[in-house]
Amino acid sequence: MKKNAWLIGIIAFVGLVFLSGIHFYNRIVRLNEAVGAGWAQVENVLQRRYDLIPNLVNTVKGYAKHETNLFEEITRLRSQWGEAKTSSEKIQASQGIENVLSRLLLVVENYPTLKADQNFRALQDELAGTENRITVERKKYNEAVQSYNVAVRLFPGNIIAGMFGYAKNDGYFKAEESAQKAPQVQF
Amino acid sequence: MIRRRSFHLLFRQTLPALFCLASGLAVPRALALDESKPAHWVTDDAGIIDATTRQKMERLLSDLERQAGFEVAVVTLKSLEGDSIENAANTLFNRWKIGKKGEDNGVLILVAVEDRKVRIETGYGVEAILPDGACGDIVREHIVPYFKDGRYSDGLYQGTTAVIYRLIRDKGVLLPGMEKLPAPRKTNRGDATGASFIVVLFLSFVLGKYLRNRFKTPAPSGWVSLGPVLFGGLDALFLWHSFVALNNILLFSILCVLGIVALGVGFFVKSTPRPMGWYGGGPGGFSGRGRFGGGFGGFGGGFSGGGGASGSW
Repeated sequence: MKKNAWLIGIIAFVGLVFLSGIHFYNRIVRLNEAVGAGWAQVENVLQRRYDLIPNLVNTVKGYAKHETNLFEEITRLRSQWGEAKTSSEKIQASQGIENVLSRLLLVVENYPTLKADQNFRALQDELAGTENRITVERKKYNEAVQSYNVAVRLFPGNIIAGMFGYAKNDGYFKAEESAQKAPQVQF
Repeated sequence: MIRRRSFHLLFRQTLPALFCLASGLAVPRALALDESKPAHWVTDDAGIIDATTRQKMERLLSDLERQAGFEVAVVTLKSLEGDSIENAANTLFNRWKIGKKGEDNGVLILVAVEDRKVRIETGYGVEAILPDGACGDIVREHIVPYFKDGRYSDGLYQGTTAVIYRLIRDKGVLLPGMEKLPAPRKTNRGDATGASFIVVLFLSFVLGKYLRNRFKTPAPSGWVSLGPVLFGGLDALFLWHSFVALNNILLFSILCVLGIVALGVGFFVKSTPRPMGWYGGGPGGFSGRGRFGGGFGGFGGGFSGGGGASGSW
């Protein structure tokens, strides 16, 4: 009788451990998927900006012909983004594009006729909207990475994560605020 | 005993009250609005919209939601408390979940009076109908000119109707009192037909369940009920056509009642209702539909990814 009670106790304990293991494993998988989905959204909006650049450059070119250096740099950075494979390469390339675009928008200030152009206004709206989308999706992505990391590092998630090879994710967008609000301006 | 009760009282009433008071003082107004549940389509926190305009807007926006499913919220704030209008709009949008769940077909028009900023924020699902350029045009041409003269009501009314026109032109539906669309386009009624079909099925299911409970009838086998169910289904298919294309309210109502009764009887005589996975499309799907002459029924569960455009005056 006493032996039976022990046996039942042990079985119940093992069962509980097993069940909670399943729970934590599923949670980690789900959060990892959310990180992947978040990153896909970020790439999506970055791609949107990439697609917008030729239009923008062509419109600006019509008014500001002699800003050739700037146009060359934009083209170079754009192809860099096209070639980027890993997420860190893409983050780097997108930050370059961001800087050069903010310079382009400063240059525009010197051309009042361009600023009044209907097409350019719509493009400017699209660009501002795209930048805002990027900010939003980045924020969501960072939040997804954060909750994944917390799940992977807290006990007992860390044990499960170690068993199945889920490592901490360092793919944060770092210092996004400063990169956005203090662009490097050189003429 | 007394001590325990007073302790209890402290926790149940005094502490929360103090907490509310403290948070009400400490939390910026914009955030406080985030936490609150919206009660109308138009939330005039800054108090800049006059009563008549507000009523007109409420009416238009609930008609819009009923006929086309879009959820448009208009919000005015006194101040952003240092936040950017883009961030405030996105936060508010996603907290209130403007737009239908899964469709993300909401729009938020946000005004911050002291900051002199206005923004039209679009949900994921309306980005194609209202691209950022179009939002910018509406802000620049319909809203800002009025705001510059301090005519906030007029500017918001013009801006809201401009947004509504864009939305209904895309869906090809009319709002009550409107004789024709601003600019005709290819019409697409597939979604609306499906929606009214589902509403009728849902209501008839409820009726059937009520009848079953009321009379506690052990039902005959399923085949008997198939007739009414089929009839009701066909009936529902003609519903939206009769309403939109023929614009015949009487025919619509008759078909509606017929459909509900037929299906209700169908589900009534059927002993075990078949699995109804498809009618539970989330509470959002029915927030305002199927109810005629209604007002605001809460937002449906939509999200925004930061689309839209801002302007200042």
